[in-house]
Amino acid sequence: MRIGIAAKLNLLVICMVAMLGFFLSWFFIRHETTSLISEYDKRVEAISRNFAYNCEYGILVGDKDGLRRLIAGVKNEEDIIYVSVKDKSGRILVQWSAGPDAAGGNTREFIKSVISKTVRHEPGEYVDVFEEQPEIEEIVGSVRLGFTLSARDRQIRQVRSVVMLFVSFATVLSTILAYGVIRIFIGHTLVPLVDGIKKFAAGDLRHRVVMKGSDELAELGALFNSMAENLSATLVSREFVVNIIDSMMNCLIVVNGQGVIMMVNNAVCDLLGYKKSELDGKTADVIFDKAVINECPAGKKSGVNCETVFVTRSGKRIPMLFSSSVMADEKGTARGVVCAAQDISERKRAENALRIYNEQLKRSNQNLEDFAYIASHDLQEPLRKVKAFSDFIKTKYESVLDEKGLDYISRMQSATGRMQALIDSLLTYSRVATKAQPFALVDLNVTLQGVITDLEMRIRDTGGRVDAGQLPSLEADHVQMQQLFQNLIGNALKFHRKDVPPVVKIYNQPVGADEGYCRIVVEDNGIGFEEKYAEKIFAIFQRLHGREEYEGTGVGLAICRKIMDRHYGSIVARSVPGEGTKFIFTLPLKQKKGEKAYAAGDEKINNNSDGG
Amino acid sequence: MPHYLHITKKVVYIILFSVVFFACGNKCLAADRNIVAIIKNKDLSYYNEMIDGFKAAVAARKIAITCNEFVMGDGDINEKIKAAAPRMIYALGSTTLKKIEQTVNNVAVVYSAAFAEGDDVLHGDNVTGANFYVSVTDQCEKLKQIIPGIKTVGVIYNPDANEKTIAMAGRKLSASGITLALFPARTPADIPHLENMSVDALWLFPDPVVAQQTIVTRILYTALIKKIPVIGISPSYVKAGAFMALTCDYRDVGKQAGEAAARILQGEKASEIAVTTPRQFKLYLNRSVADKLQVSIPHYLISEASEVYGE
Repeated sequence: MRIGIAAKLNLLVICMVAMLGFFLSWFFIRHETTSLISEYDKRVEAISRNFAYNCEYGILVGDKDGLRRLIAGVKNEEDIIYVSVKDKSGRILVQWSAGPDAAGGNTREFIKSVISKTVRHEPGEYVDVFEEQPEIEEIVGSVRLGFTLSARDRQIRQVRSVVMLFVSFATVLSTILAYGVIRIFIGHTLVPLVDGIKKFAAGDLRHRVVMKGSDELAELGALFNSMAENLSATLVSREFVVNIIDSMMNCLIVVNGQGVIMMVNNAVCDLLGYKKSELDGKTADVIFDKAVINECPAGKKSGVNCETVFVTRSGKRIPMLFSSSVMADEKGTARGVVCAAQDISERKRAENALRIYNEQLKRSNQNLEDFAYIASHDLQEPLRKVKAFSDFIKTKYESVLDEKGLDYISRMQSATGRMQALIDSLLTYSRVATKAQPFALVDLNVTLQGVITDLEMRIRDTGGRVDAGQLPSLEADHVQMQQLFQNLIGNALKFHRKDVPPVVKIYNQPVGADEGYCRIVVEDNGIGFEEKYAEKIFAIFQRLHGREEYEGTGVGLAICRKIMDRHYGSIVARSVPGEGTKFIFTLPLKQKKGEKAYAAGDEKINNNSDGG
Repeated sequence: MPHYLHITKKVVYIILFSVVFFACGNKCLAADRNIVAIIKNKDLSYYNEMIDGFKAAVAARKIAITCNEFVMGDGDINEKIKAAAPRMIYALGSTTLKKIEQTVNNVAVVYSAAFAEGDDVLHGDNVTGANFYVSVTDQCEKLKQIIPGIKTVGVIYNPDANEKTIAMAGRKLSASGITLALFPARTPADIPHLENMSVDALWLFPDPVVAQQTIVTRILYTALIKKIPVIGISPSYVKAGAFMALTCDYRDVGKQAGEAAARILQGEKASEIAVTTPRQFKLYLNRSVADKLQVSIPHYLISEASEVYGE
C-alpha cells in the first residue's frame, strides 16, 4: 500500500497535535487544578487564620457573644460546615454545625491555635504595639473549622471539562488547518516537483519545474532545474538519439540474443522496403543470414566485420558491408547485438570493373612483353638477312658501285647495326621479366666486385676508379643485380666530364626505422643533368644526349627500374648538372609474396608500367 | 658577644619601643577624643530621632565626639562600655537608664527617658537628662480644644504596675475639670466592655495589659462603634484608629539631652544640670475617625498637626 507524503505528514501532524493536546490538557488541568486547590487552601487557611486571630480577644475576655458574632460572620462562607472555639483548657466556648448532610463529599478541617501576643515593656516606657515586635506569645485557645470540598471539586471538574473541550476543539481545528496547509503545500511544491521529475525521467529533457515560494523544496526545484540543465547539456534525449539513428545513411539493426529484431532505423526500411512495424519482433533471417551474428562472440564487445547480403522485401539481394558488436549492460551481460551495415553495391560494381580492368591490363602487359620479346627475337632474322645482303653487296659489287652507291650501302649497314643494337636492348629489357632467375640470397659485395672486374678495361681507359663500400646481402636475382650495377657504373663511366677521371662511389645508406630494406647509393662526378629529367631518364629509349655525343640505346636505366620493379624496390636519381649524379635504389632484404614496392620520403613509387 | 646576638638585641629593643610608643599614643589619642557610648534597649525609630538630635546639639556646640552605639541585650553591655572607655554615656529609655545607673559610677550619664506623673525623675551626681513623658493633662487639654464637652476620660490599667501613676494623673486631670474614670484590669479578661464604660473619651495608657495589638485593635474598633474618641500613644495608634495623639518632638528631646551633654563635656557637673521636660510637641489627628465621630476639627489644629491621617 502506497502512502503519500501528504498522508504521512497529516498523520505526523495529527500525532503531534494529539500529543500536544494531551500534554496541554494535562498541563492546564494540572495547573488549574493545582491553582484551584492552592487558592482554595489559601482561602480557607486565611479564613481559619483570621478567625483564630479575631477570636483572641473573645477568648481572652470570655466574650462568647463576640465569638458567636464572629461565627456568624464565618458562616457566610458557603463551604464552611462547622466551627468551634475552645479556650486554653480545651473547653468549648462556642460551636456551630451546618448538620450532617452539609458536607456532601470530602471535607477538610483546620485547627488553629489562638495566640495572644504581648509587647514586653517596662513600666513608664512608651509602647507602640503597632510598631514593635511582640516579645511574649501565649496560646490562649484554639479554633476548629470544617470545610466541605464539594464546591472546590465541582469547580475542578468544570475546569477539567472546559480544558478538555477547548483542547479537543483546538486539536481538531489544528488538524484541519494542518491538513489544509499540507494539501496546499503539497499541491504547490511537491506535486509540480514530482511531475517534473517524472517527465524528465521519461525523456523530456527540456522540461523544467516551476516552484513557488522560497523554502527548501523551492530550492530543491531550483536545484533540479539546474541539474536538468546540466544533464541536458551532457546527455541527449531518446528522441534526439532516435532522430540521429534515423538520420544515419547506414543501416542499424539491433537484435536480441535470439536474433529477434529489436530496433531498425529508417535506412533499413528505405533500403529494404519494409516498415518498422513489419520488422519489429521478426528474426534477423528475414533480412540477412543470422549466422553472421553468431560469429559475434557473446561477452565481447568486438563483433564481426564482414560482407554479407541483405534481402529486400521484393527479394532483391543487396551486398552489404556488415559489422556487429555486442551490446552489454554495466555488468557485462549481453543485452543484444548492434548491427551496422552499409550498402556496397556501388563499391562492388567498381571492384568488379577494376578487377576486370586489372586482368585486362595484365593480359595487355603480358601480350606487350611477349610482343617485345617475339618482335625483338623475330626481327633479328630479317635484320640479319638485310645486314648479310648489304655486306654481300658491298663485298661483291663494290667495284661496280659508284661512290654514292657505296655511301648508301654504308648507311644501310650503319642503320641495321643501330637497329640490331635496339633489338638487342629491347630483348634485354624484355628478358628482365621473361628470363628472370628465382630470388636467392645475394652478397652485393661479391656481385659488385664481379661487375668492377668486368668493367676493369673501361675503368682503366677512362682513368677513373670505383670506390665500393660495404654492402648488405639480400634476397634478389643475382644476374639482375649484376645487370643493375653494370648499367649504373657503366653510365657513370660513360657520362664523365672531359678531363675529369670518373670516380664512382657505391655505398650503403641507412634507411632509418625501416629495417627490412637496404638503400644503396651509386654516386658519380660526371656531367649530371637537369633535375627535371630525373624521371624521364628511366623511360625506355629516352636519351638526354645525341648519338654523336654518347653512344647507347636509352634502355639501360629503363632496365634498372624494371629490375627494381621486379624486386619490389625503387630507384630514383638526383643530379646537378656539371657536378654529378646519385642513383639511389632501395630493396627489401627479404622478398615476400605480394611485397609492395617501397616508397619513402620523396622517392617515387614505381609504376608497373615500363613508362613506354 | 657574638655579632649576631648584638643585632638580635637591637631588634628586640626596637620592637619593644614600638609597642610602648603605639600603646601610649593610642592612650593619648583616646584621651583627646570625646567618646560617647550611646545605649538603647531597642532599635526604635523615635530613639534614633533622639540620637540624631543629640548629635546635632553637641555638634552645634563645636564639640567633637565619637559615638559608639550599643543595644541592650546584645552581649555583655558592661564589658563593651569598659572596652570603649567613654567619657559619657547617652542612655535611651528608662529601662536602659536604670541598668546603666546601677552599674556605672565614674562616667557621666545623660539620658532621654520617660518618667510619668508621680515618678521620681532620675538626677544624680553624674546623671542628668531629658524626660520626654507627655502629661495626660496636656493630651486631654488638646482633646478639649476639639471636643470641648469632654468631662470624663476613661483609662484601662494594671493596678499592680501603674497605680501610682494613674492616681497622680487623675489628680492632675481633676485640676483641669476632667474626671479620670479608672478601669483596672490585671488580665485581658478583666478588661471591661466599652459598652459598660460611661466615658466621653478613652486614654490609652502604655500598660502591659493593654499593650497587645489585638486588644488595642479591638478597643479602637469598639470605641469607634461607640463613638468614643481615643487618645493614642503614638502616630501609629492614630493611624490604626485612635482619634488623636500628642507626643513630644523626639528630636528636640535628643537635642535637650545633647545640650546637657555638651555642658558636661565643657566641664559642668551633671548634678548641676536640671532634667528637662519636652518643650516641643507633635499632634497627630485622624480625620476619618473624626468624621465617624461626627467631630469637626478646627482648622488651626489641622495646621498645627504634624500629620493628619484619613484625608
